[in-house]
Amino acid sequence: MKIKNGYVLKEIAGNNIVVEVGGKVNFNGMMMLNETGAFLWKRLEKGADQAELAAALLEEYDVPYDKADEDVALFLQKLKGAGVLE
Amino acid sequence: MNKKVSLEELEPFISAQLAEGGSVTFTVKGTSMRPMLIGGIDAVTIVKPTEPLKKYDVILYRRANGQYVLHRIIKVKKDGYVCRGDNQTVKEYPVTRDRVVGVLTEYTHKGKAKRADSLGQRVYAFFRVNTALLRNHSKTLYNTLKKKEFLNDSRCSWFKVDKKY
Amino acid sequence: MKYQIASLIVEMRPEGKTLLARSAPYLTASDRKADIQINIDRGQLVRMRKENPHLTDDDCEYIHTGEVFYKALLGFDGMLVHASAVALDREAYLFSAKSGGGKSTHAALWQKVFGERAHIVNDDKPALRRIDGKFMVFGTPWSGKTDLNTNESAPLKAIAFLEQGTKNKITRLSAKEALLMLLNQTLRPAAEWNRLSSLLDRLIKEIPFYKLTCDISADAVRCAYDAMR
Repeated sequence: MKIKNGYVLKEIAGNNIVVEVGGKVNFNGMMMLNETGAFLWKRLEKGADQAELAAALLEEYDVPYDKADEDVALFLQKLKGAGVLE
Repeated sequence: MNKKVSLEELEPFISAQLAEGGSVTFTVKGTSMRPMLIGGIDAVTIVKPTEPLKKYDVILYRRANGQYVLHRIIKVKKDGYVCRGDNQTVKEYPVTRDRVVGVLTEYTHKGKAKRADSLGQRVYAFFRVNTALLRNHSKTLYNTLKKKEFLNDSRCSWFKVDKKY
Repeated sequence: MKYQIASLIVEMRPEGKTLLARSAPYLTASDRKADIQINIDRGQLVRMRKENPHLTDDDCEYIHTGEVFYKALLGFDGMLVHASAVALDREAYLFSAKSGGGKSTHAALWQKVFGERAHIVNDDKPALRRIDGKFMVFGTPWSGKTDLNTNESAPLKAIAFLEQGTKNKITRLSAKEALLMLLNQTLRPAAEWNRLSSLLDRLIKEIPFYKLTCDISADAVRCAYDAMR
């Protein structure tokens, strides 16, 4: 699972912001991720797959394992919908 | 990119090896079995169980999604085992017998080889399992990583920005 | 010709009436080396004219040089904010709004209410620059609509986003709301996102942001001032 080229995550005043800098001259939209969303995004940047994402979530957060699976699946679906994943 | 081979990928080999009475040794990953096992450093040896599994045994089992997990049995029930990592508070139940791949017999810690059935291990396991409830509230001797609270579903929201500029 | 704009030395050769007139107050005799070189690409101006037939050559030169300047400004801890900047007691207040949202009107009201103590630094596109740990607001030749634009600077006190309404009310904006608002009111070239994002991070952490719903009365000014001072 890979994030499309040109999308970068930056923290601005406590908010996790993703914009597309690879494409147009001026971007026309921004995405905001919450804390766990940003946590997963950073691992996606390194090339983690769905299982690795769930495992990472389980290690870092106090969450039941089927909730972790579900959360990762839903999150990836949202990212796909936003056209951010390859 | 450096890719480690996962247990999941080695699956057919592992089953075959254990079925023949052999053992499998690998380095553990993650923090769920701290302080006994440190991810990336300590190694464990797994064999197919020859006797019924019991409380305090550390077992290797497969989840429904295919993931391999190495956790400790904290209770034996009719429908399966209740398992939990030594560094966790969340229990997993039921881990049914057909999902169990093997049991831990030996491991390394701080470079030394250790047996799972040693007295030292048994005492450690006893305290680890029975003081689990206290763990969140008291400091432990080891540097166990405290897990963060999972507050919300992971979210991403899209905001449009004017094309003007 | 050399100009001093936002404490930077800018080298450019205006030809059109508008740019010549509006940049005149910024001429400088300084022998400092130019920080920003604005080379007016006449070929690009021709293309711009073709795409925007309602603009004159003069307009195109004016708009184009403004864009070049504000993009270059990002390399100097600075950015454009589409807002009306009022200086009161030597401190700058910025009022931003959607197009036609009443920011110029509101800024003019401040001048009316506070008289001598207040005046307009830039009516449309002040430059913001972080110098020695402080955000400073500058007038530039590219004020946009009217001539309300002076070559001066003041430290930034606060920024408010305006919306016209019947009641006068002012509230603080969250970091997220401030960020969204700023992104909509500035130039954001993708190539400069690293610089722009760090600047925005600092700006939102250091300066208070407000949302102001107001009518066009003097009371609106007092409502805003009481909260923002």
